[in-house]
Amino acid sequence: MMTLKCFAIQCCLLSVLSIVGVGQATPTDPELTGIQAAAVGQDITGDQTGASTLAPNSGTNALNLALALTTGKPPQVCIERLKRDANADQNTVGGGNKKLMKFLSLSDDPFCSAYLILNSDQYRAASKYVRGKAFSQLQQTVERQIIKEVKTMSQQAGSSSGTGGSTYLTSKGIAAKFLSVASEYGALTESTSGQTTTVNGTLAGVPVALMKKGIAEECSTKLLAATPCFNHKVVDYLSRISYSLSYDTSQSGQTISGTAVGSSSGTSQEVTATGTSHSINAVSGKWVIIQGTSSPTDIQSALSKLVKGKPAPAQKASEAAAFLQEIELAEAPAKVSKWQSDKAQTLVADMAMDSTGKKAIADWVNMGTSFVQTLDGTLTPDINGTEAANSDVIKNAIQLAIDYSAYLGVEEDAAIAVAKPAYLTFEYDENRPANQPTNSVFRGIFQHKIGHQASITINGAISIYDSPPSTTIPGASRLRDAQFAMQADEPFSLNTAFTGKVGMTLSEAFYFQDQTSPAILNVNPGSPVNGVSFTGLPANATQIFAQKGNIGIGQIKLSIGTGSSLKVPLSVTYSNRTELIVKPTWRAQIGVSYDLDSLFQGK
Amino acid sequence: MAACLLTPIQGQVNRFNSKPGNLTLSVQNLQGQTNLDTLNSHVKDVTNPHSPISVTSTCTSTSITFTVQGGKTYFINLAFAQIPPFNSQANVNETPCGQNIDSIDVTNLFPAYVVIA
Repeated sequence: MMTLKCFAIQCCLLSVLSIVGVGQATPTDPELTGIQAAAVGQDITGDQTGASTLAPNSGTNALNLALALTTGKPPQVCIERLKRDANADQNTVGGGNKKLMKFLSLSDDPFCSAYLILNSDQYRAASKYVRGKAFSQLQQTVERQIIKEVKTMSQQAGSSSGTGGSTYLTSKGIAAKFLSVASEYGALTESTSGQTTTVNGTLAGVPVALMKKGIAEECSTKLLAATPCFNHKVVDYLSRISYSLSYDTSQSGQTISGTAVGSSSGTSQEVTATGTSHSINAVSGKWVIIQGTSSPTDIQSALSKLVKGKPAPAQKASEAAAFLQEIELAEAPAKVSKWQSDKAQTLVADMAMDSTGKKAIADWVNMGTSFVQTLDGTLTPDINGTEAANSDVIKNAIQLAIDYSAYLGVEEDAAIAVAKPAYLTFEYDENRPANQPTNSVFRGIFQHKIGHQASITINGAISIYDSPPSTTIPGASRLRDAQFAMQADEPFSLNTAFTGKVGMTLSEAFYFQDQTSPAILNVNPGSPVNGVSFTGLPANATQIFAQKGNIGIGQIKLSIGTGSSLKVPLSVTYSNRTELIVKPTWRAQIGVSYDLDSLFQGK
Repeated sequence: MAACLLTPIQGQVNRFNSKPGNLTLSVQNLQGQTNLDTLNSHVKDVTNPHSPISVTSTCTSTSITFTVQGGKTYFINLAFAQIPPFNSQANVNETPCGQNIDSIDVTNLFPAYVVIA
């Protein structure tokens, strides 16, 4: 008889990081005017005369001004481009130093040009003016944001196959992108089903989330002093290592049982108490040993999704760049071209004198002051801090630097999310099921794509008890069982007038377990196993075991909603036996999962 | 080979003289994949710099096209998205003539051009 046994609701949460307030004084503080008021979160909206100097990026405030302090060393990508372009121009006689002129241009290298502006005397005057108030607060803010991000990110997925409460017959090689939380009900290989909540993710989740929020940078493009940086290759590798923690929520509370020791003294009795609570019932780690490359179709799809998500940093960086580029290309092209030509000549001469590029780099980082003055003649090197802080050129350069960095984080986030086939994965599970001896599972996972969309997943695993089982259990050994599982997935879609196009995946799975050692349950007559009743159990029994044998399970599953946020998996499962019950079982399962990640994309 | 509309102005970066006609700038991937950000790529008529006018353009993930009219000056600002983000490279070419206009990499995701007809 078929029973409707399992109903899983999975939900996920991905935090949206918000800038927290940093001000301790109020903007109405009589001692604070203009830029100082901005130090407590107000936009820079007026100079000392009260005249409006609002720039297109009116969101620029003192927090950004302090945040935009450049790191001492120029970004590596700028150093590399400078050397490459200088060498090329050096070798092109009569070429007019075209490549270096482009390098020195906001319209052709907005990233390195933004660094140059933020390394100018004019910017330093502006930041010095507000740094005392804003910078220490900024550091606290960045720390708070990092902690908040780590604490609040969450997403969903299920536990590994074979763990208590898992509804999956096979393990796959890829885990959720960030942290995730899932709740499942109904085990396939165990007779006692439990409610399991799983938290999992990859080690790359936190660095990428911080980069996406603009509070960390990739090291080769590190522009800002206040933010930490992560190497792109390290982040990419970390995305291949995932983890999960499963929590058995069916254990409503700790159960304590007592066994009498010694003789009673009147109405008093000494006991030895033991607790049976199992909070974490599985810990897993996965390492993708052999990973394939993303398909061009998947990358194209990720790029389209990125653009459609309207990431705020793209728009803000584009607007700030356009403001500065209009000055360079339309308002003062002759002046800027002359500056670019002169400075390019200097850099070529530097490279001729020092082929390592050190002299050229040292000269380049000092060109910011003259660059800013070329863009706006009123921004002289000795300008006072108030005027510099209210300059549209400075404000837009800050906005460009901050949002450009954040946009690179958005791109990194999209790149990490692009599916890369995990050909071969190693998985380790430490299972701590309630009322059972703990055991370790070592699993190899092989995945292969067949044709355009279908895929096959093969698992092979052995499970061992963490400590030798009691010698009083016949046939018991350290090797608990050996497992083999195979699953085929075939995505397809149905197009109806009523629903439109609905993505689906048909999966067929087979699982085999050679139970080389009997399944063991720890029992205590005073505190019976939840959901299991015994008849005729001796009062002094501490462990019970079942008849060992082979377990075979077959499953057909239809997942409705493939590719969308809402998914409804329906499955029918047959097993010849479970670890405890030696009779065949039929199960029907239905689940609902909703990916809340989609709600936050592009925000 | 089709004739190009754009001629680079000597000694200046990203400034071009242009013949009237339909100007198309296309992305050519060299390494990784680069898409035009259709939402943040714009063309403005800045003949009168004090009152810029938005120009209708056709923008896809791989190209942007607009009509260049004689006597007018245009400001083009483009935005790109790349995967992988730190080592992708692409060219911006005028099509169909194939003239290379610019290179796009991690330092140049938001380039701008002035076209004088």
